[in-house]
Amino acid sequence: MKRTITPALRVSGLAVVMLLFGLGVPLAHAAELKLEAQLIWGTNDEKSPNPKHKPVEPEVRKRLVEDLPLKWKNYFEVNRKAFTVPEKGSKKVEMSDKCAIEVKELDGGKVEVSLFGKAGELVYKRTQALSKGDILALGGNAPDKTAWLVTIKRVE
Amino acid sequence: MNWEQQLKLQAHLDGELPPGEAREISALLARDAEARALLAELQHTRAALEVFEAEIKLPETREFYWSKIERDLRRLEPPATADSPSVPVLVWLRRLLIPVAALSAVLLATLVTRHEFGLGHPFLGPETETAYADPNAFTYRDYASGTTLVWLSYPAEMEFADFPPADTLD
Repeated sequence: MKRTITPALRVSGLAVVMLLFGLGVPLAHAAELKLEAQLIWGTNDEKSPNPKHKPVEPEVRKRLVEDLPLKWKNYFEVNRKAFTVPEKGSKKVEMSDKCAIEVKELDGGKVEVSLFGKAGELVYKRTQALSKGDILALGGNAPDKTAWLVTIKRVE
Repeated sequence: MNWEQQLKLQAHLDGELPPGEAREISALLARDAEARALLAELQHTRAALEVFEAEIKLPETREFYWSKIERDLRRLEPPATADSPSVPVLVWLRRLLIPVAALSAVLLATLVTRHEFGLGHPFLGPETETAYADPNAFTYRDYASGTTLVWLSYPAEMEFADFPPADTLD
């Protein structure tokens, strides 16, 4: 007996295609992480005492000034590190002689970010998803009413 | 005559006896008047049946006669009932359940995928879990730009760097 494609079967077939596509897209992201970390100084001063410091990129500045509830007007890049976290692995990066971060890739597209102090002690740890283009900024108060920030941006 | 001899006599009349028994019955008929009388009565009875059993003749040929009967039987058979205009409940359920089940599977897979790959609730943002936390830390997320700020409450003197920066690490 000849089978005909009923509307019900047509809808079911479309749903199966959508299901496979929906599962395929996240699976494609299971790979190493390319990240960029910056150590940033936030201040209301127009210039940094260190002439080597340069203002952060406009994109980063826009995020810090416009998108986040931070009160400082100017942000200077103290250090920048580009690194790659291997798939399901971790990478520790020294941002200064008093600060280090470690990024670990977890299952489900999440990352675990650990912040270490000057003595190497664990100060903070956080797990969250970090998509391409997302930035995680860890910060705190610094002397003279300034601020320090460590930003981690996922490049790939 | 005994009962068996009478049966043999009838068989002899019908020509069904084997040759040996036929000679025995012929010898009996020659010497026994009662046997001869019984044989005559059986012969008269058979002749009467042949006369009164008239042959029934059909007005047409046998094949045509039976084909008419077959045609009448088919005409008298009840007609096949027409399909009911209403769709059976099971068919209706099958038509409905297939797309519903497929859409449910898509929705379930989407939810599982979002959870598994840390995409989190579509409205609440990515899931977070803080294993070692600053209890007084402040977290803020700007969903539009994908920027998350965690403001730690450690005192400024804790120094995560030399601030104000006099020099820097290359």
